[in-house]
Amino acid sequence: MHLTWLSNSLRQFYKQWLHRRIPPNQQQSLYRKNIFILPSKAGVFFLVVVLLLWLLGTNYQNNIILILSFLLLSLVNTCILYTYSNLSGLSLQIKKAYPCFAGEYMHIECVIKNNSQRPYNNIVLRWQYGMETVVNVSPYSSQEVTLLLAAPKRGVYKANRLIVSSIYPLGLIRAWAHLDMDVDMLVYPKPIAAHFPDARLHIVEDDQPQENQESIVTTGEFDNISHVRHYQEGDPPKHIAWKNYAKGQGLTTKIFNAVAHAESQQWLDWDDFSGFSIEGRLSRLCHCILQASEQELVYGLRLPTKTIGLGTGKMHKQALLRELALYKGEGN
Amino acid sequence: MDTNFFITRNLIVGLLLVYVSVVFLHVSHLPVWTFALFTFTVLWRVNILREKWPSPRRVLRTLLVVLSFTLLFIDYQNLAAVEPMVSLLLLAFTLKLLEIRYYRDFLVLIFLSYFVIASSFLFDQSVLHTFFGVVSTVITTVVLIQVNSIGISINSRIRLALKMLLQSLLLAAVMMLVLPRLNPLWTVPLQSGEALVGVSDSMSPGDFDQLIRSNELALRITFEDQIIERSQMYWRGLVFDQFDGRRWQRSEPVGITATHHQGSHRFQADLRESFQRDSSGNVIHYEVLMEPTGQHWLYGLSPLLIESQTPHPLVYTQNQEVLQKQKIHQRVKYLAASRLGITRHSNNQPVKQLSIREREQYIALPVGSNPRTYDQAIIWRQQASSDQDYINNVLQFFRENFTYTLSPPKLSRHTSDEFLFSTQQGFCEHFSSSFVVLMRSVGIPSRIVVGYQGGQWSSDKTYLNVYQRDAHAWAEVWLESQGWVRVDPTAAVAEVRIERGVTAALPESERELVGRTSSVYQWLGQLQNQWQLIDYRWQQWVLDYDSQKQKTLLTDYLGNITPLKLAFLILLPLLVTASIVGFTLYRSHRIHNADEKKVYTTLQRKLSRLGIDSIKGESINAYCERAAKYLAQKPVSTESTNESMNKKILLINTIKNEFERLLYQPDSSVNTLSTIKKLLKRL
Repeated sequence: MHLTWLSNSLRQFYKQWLHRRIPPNQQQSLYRKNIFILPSKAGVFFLVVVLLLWLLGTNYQNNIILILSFLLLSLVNTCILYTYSNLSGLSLQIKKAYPCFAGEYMHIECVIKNNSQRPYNNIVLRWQYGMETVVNVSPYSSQEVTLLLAAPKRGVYKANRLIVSSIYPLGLIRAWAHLDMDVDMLVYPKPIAAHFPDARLHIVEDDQPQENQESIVTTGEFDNISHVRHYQEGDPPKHIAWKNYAKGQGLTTKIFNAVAHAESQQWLDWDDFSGFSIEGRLSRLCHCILQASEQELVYGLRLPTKTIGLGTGKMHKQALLRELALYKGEGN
Repeated sequence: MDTNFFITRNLIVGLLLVYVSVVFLHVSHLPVWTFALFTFTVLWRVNILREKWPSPRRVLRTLLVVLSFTLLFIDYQNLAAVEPMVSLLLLAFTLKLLEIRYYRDFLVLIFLSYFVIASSFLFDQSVLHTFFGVVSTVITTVVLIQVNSIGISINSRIRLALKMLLQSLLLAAVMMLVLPRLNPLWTVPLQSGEALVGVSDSMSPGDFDQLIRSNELALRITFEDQIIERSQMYWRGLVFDQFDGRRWQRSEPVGITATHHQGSHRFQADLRESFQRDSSGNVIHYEVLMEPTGQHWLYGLSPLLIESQTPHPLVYTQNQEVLQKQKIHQRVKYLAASRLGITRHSNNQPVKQLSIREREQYIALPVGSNPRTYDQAIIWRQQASSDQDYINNVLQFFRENFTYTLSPPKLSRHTSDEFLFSTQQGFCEHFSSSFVVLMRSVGIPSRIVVGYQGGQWSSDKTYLNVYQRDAHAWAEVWLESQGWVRVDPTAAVAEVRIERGVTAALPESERELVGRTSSVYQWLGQLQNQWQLIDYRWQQWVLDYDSQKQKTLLTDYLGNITPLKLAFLILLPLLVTASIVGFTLYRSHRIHNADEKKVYTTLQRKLSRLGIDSIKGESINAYCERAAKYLAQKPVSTESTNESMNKKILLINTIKNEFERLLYQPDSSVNTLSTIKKLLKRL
């Protein structure tokens, strides 16, 4: 009991100390204050070998063996300098962290930059609880790396520390830095398959023949379309007014009249999943949002705390998912 | 690292290279059958690599392990010694080659190979072997880098390994010189089944043939103050007292004497005491560096007293031999003292009489062998007035009738009879053997002594090299008034042999039989001389560096040794190494920046000569553009100047582009810089 308390408080202390020593920042440079360096496991083993050699040399009063043991010991010393300088001087910057679903790996884009004439070799990048990536950075260049970080639970929270390490060149010494890159992780709930709350609403535009849809504009069924606006990234391709584009008016998107399209509207309601826990509801709502988005419905979300109106498109989907991620649950 | 580790073809090839280089270091003392196993394993490994054979199953691996261990045990009997241990390590290395799967397997093998390299120095510490050891160390380090790095060319790996090792050398050397040396914590005996060239523990006709043809070193002697004459240089080794008609040997095998001899302390104490009491100045001191012989006995002048510590306890025998309890498998160095040319008698000491048993032992001859020698001896003795007279007559007989040659006719059953009365050609072993037979036939106690005679001064005349070809056999006879006296019948026949060596004593046609004497290879001989000098210095400065020398060195340069000074001595190279490494790592960077600056100032100078000065804070780009514009607007008088002006504008624009490239394509910066330099020259 006391032990766990002790270890916990020690860990806490270490965390705080690390926080003060290496404060969070989206851009970090590696230098003597944040680089730690110690012999690796192999290095310890190597030192034992050196000790054995020294014993052998001493026992047989054999100078050559003694010199060899001293040379190898000295090699470890040289290796410290090399390994340290293989980290020192690098700088890292977070470019983008892509939101993901709980239980998946979050993709975080990171730029690693070398501002010097010498190459940096075999730099191992890894988030705590993430996957390792090894990069070589040539002189005066930067390299973009996508790092994977496990996102076990829903919510918005800070990423763990990024561990930049290297055992280059001999594997005997390990230098590392625990960097707090100040990354906000946006993790959507894990989708759990669920039927739409009302079967009546399973009307899908895909049922309409392609020609019909094209004729929307030509046949003058304008009541379906409320207006046309400039194309925005994420608008479904089917909603692009290709005719207008052909006329040379640029990419525009048809915005359908919501009222007129009553049969393709979908409200996703918190109360529709009343039998489940909060996380369960969120997961199912998440699934429904993904479905609705895939079927290009016009949909909205009703949460006890917030209601988001009808809409379509990638932005809309992300906004909704974000609400789910942010929803105050048991955990948050 | 484990998760990112893939076994590549190159890694296996690298490891095999390490393996071969490491086995090479041990070639001289490994049992022959191990090579079969090694070749088999390497072949298998290569075939796994070529995806022709599968990896061996566990059953086969176990079988190989059991088989090799059994063979090893049969070969060595005792696995506790160093030699079988090293073989064991190499076997483990070999078998491990067949199952490398993880990162740590590679590391284990690489660390093991460092250990195996080191252990090879237990058997051989020569300059050449050390050189090979260094090569192996470099290869191993390259592969260690290879295991720990991805995406780096082999050349840069080799360069890195060499750089790191060189940078580590300074600190290693200082540690070697300065760190306190400890005495052995415990010892494991070396064991060797290797046949070494050298005087063996028995002598029959023809045995010395091989020796006299060998150019290998046996001893190196450094005299402390007094240098003795060549004719005095009888490096005595072993005494043979038993003759079977053909072969001379000891009545008690030397191994038994070395381990079970009684009274060794008494002999040693007597000798020490008599040396201390000696006031004639005939006691000389010298240092002997003896090559490994795989035998028990030490060499020295007679009588021999060892004054320094040897690796193992010594035994002084009644025959005035000095034996080491363990066989000599490493170079051994000892300080020795001997008394020259003075018998006990003249030292006013009563000569100890031989016991009846001893007397019988020293006059024993096999029944029925060499009958003619026996008869003749009796006749000669009757003609002589005394034992001494008889000896002189026999020597006279040798001197008048015999020739010294290295290729004598073969002798069959009655070796002495045939040699003395029909062939009359031979060398030391024949002369000494038949001389002792002649002595014993008339009841004069006598025995054979084997060892070396003479030697050759090193090219700088500081020490004496004694080679295997200087191997020699002579006789000792017991005279009532004087005790044991050395008689060398070979000297009677070929005085030159004693004074100038084997080669000089031989007829011209036979000189090539002795190593290094052919005039064709004279220069080779000189080269060998030089090499031996290097080897000797190596021994003196590197191999013999011990706590005593360390102390002398440190006090010479530092005065009193204090822990603070030692700490400083270690810290200093640490700092130096750090700065050297730092310098090599950052140097290229600095040079690069300096280059850029230099190029820029050249540009400024050239352009300002054209009338365009740079403005503070202006970029190179803007500066060049402004210069180009200025030149374009400048009024020109003639057609030719106009043309040259246009050329200049073009040049400036190109330079501008190159500078831009320098900024955005740093990878090719070296090329770009040289291009800019060329362009600037044309401007």
